[in-house]
Amino acid sequence: MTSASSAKLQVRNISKVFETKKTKTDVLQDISFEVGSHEVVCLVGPSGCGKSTLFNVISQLDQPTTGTVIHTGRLAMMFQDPALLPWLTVDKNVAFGLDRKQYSKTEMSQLVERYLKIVALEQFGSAYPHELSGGMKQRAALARTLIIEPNIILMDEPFSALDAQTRERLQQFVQTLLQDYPVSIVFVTHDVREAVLLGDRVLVLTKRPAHIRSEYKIDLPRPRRSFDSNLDSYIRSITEQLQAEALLYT
Amino acid sequence: MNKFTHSFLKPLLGWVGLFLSWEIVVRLKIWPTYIFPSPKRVLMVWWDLLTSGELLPGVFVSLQRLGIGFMIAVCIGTLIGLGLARNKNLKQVFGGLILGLQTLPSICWLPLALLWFGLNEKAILFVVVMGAVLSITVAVEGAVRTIPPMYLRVGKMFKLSRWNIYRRIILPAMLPTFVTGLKQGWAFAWRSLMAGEMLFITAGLGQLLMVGRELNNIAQVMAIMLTIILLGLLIDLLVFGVAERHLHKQWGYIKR
Ligand SMILES: Nc1ncnc2c1ncn2[C@@H]1O[C@H](COP(=O)(O)OP(=O)(O)OP(=O)(O)O)[C@@H](O)[C@H]1O
Ligand SMILES: [Mg+2]
Repeated sequence: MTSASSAKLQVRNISKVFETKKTKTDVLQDISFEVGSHEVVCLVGPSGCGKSTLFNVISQLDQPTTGTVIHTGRLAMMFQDPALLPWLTVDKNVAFGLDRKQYSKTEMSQLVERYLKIVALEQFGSAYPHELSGGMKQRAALARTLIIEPNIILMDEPFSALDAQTRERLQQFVQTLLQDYPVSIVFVTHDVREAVLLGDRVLVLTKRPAHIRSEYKIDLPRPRRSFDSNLDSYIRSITEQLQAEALLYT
Repeated sequence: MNKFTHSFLKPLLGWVGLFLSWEIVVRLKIWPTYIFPSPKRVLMVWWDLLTSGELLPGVFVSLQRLGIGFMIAVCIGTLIGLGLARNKNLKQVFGGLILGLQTLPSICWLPLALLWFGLNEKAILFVVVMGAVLSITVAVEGAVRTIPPMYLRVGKMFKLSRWNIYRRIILPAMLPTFVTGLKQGWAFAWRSLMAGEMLFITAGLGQLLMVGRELNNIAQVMAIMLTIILLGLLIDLLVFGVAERHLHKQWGYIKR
């Protein structure tokens, strides 16, 4: 399915060691995977195993100790924290990543308006981030990511801090996004149901140092709903994998 | 109404209290009035100074020196501060030196300034600049160092250039801490200026203060002191207070 030629993102033999004067922490150990175009790959793994570190390496915010990352097209990351800039209004936060030389002022505000509508925040353009709820902040961050029309989006537990209803809405939103845009997504989550709901494949990571323990192909039609009963068998076996992982060497 | 009570009536109470207890001490006649004049006498002398045209030119000269010296200090201090914050080597080489120099009371620079520049405006400006520049440097350095790394990562994620990281992330992100630093720097500049003007005879509030001393006019000394306090309070409240309140509101800090 993901032959090297159609792959949007190739992660090859990535290892990462954090070194301080006294300690050496192995965080990632020989991680390789590919993400095809229009594919969603979900990563699940124990807390602190190195998922955010892997994303930092993929997005080149951090250097790997060994290995390479190859991607085609534009890559954007949604952080675990919405990371809106508190000194800018929502409008300006959403426009933050747009290249100012490429767009006129009116084009920019039209784009911002369009993407605010997509995340249902059109009435909050002139608010400051502190005036938004947690879910609204995360949606604004999503608009800021989508507006640059990335080919690959890395999402680091983007919905974990949200209430169940908002999360459900945004999960559905991600699925419609997949229909409308040719985008590839790598999605980190703690929530196995969310992984099965959104993923074409789910990769289970081990405890630190993280490597890929197992891989599941989720052969279910879309759109999926989180209460669909055909998710359950996948959820059961992935959860078992994670539990086995938690029991190892403790 | 509530806001009015908090920001106006209660502070006013403090001032009324000061003048009342002052009046009571005078009425107890512990000291003769030429040593400890009554508030009424001080206010009359203050009014005379104002109407005779002695006070305002002094105020103007002092504020002008303060403004120019402070601006220079802000420019230099900000540049050095940014440099220190963004370059580990610079910080390691000069950090200790700057902290050391900051402990030196700025008036100690006056003899050096007099030798370098002679008895003129430049010498006094130099003292004002030295009074404020290091505290601004330290404040800027701290402000940049404590910017949450998340904001910088947002800049990097969107592939901003180095210059744009400064302009669109670092400068706005440090603004609230920066304004607090400026406020502190301003207080240092103001003190240095007064010390300088008292030792070094030229126009200005500091000199009016010394003239009062030479004439044995304690009421004038007190009137000028009150003027200096009032000016300090006004600048603090109107310039820095307003800027701080605006930023805190924008950022959503809760201010009590
Ligand atoms: N700069 C660093 N220096 C040293 N160790 C680090 C650094 N950054 C992360 N680590 C360590 O790497 C490990 C993985 O961290 P990471 O944030 O990638 O975990 P995670 O899988 O995203 O966890 P969570 O699910 O809780 O978000 C942690 O044990 C952390 O202590
Ligand atoms: Mg994480």
